[in-house]
Amino acid sequence: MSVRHPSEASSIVLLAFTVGMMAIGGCRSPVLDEERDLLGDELPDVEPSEFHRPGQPCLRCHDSAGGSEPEMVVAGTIFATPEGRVPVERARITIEDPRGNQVTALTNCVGNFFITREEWPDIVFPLRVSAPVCGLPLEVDPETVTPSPGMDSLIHRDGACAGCHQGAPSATSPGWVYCYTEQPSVPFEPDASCPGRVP
Amino acid sequence: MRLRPVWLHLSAWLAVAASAGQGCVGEAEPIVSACPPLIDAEFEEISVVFERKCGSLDCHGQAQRNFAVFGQNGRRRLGALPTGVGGEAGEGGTGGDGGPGGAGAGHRDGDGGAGGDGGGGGDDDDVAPPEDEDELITGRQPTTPFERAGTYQSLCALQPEVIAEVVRGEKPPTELTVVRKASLLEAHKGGQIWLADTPGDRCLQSWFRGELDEIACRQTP
Repeated sequence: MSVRHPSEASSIVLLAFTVGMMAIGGCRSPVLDEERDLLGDELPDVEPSEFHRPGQPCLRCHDSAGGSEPEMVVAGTIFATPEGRVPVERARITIEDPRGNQVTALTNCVGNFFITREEWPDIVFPLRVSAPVCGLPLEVDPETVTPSPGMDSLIHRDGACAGCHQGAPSATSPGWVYCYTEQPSVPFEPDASCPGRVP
Repeated sequence: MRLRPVWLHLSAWLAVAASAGQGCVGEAEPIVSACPPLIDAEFEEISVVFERKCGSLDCHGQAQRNFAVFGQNGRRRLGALPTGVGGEAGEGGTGGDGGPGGAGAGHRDGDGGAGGDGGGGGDDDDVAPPEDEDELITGRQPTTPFERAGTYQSLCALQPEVIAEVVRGEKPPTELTVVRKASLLEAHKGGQIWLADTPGDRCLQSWFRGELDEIACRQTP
């Protein structure tokens, strides 16, 4: 029986470990991992739920690669105006795929909406998205506000609104998804009883 | 024969050193761009198609993509003008002695030809970068000539050696990855953009052949 030198044995073990780690690592995307890391921790007073992480790209975790349940196909957050990040509840978004299938979603009290894979299993890209339809208090004359113009372009791949709509308007983003260009005379305000909040 | 441990380590190090050394030997010569000339009025037809079909922020409007598409509803182009494009370079050019060539992407306003004297720069103020970069916002101002020039440069940097053969008529445009990916003749993460021999496909191929089919470009849905 041959006895391996301890150093030789350790080299073989190291090699096997390295190959094993490469095999495991090959299934993960370091780019997506980094994107998820950049999202930061949960707010201490908000449980992971449909009310968490408003304004963040939901599908970084809630897609087939991210692994978080439920798996979503389109998701995002609607704010009142381009600035201020005041969430709007019951804003309505309609999404249409190239086959003419439409799905409508409503935002919750933190402005989040989502469409799950289960709700739209045969979704086909690119998607056309309507401008959000947002309610107004009865006291507000609709003629005094300017609604969001909506999207001219299509969603080709990324169902996470915040993948493109992030921060102030810039050369790389049209800015947050919003309802009106400025607050109406009776302004939208965050719902204090909402289980989630905008940080 | 069984290797002794010391030789196992040594041979591993030698293999690593040898592979690392490969990069220093036999560096290839830089490949000269030989795209069809950049005539903004013509390339605008192509740019509109690329912007609409490829250039959204979740596709080739992302900064990480090798093929970068700039435009109104995607990524805006900021920054300095690269050598060979626009007013600060005269050596670029699109053609000398009847054939495409020159270092970098030349630009002309339509009063010359691909087989001209090769001057690519000079008085092309219209492809200058914006003076106030903060003003350029996704979704607002129309696409600028400077942005179209950026898309052109990026396009022409894809397979420059094959583009040269296509422009010379030695190969069909269907040899180009950008043509093949759009019609899914080659794997494309963004899927099939159009079917082969439909307006978008004909538009793109015609530009590489130097006979732009404007009608096909405008018919691209």
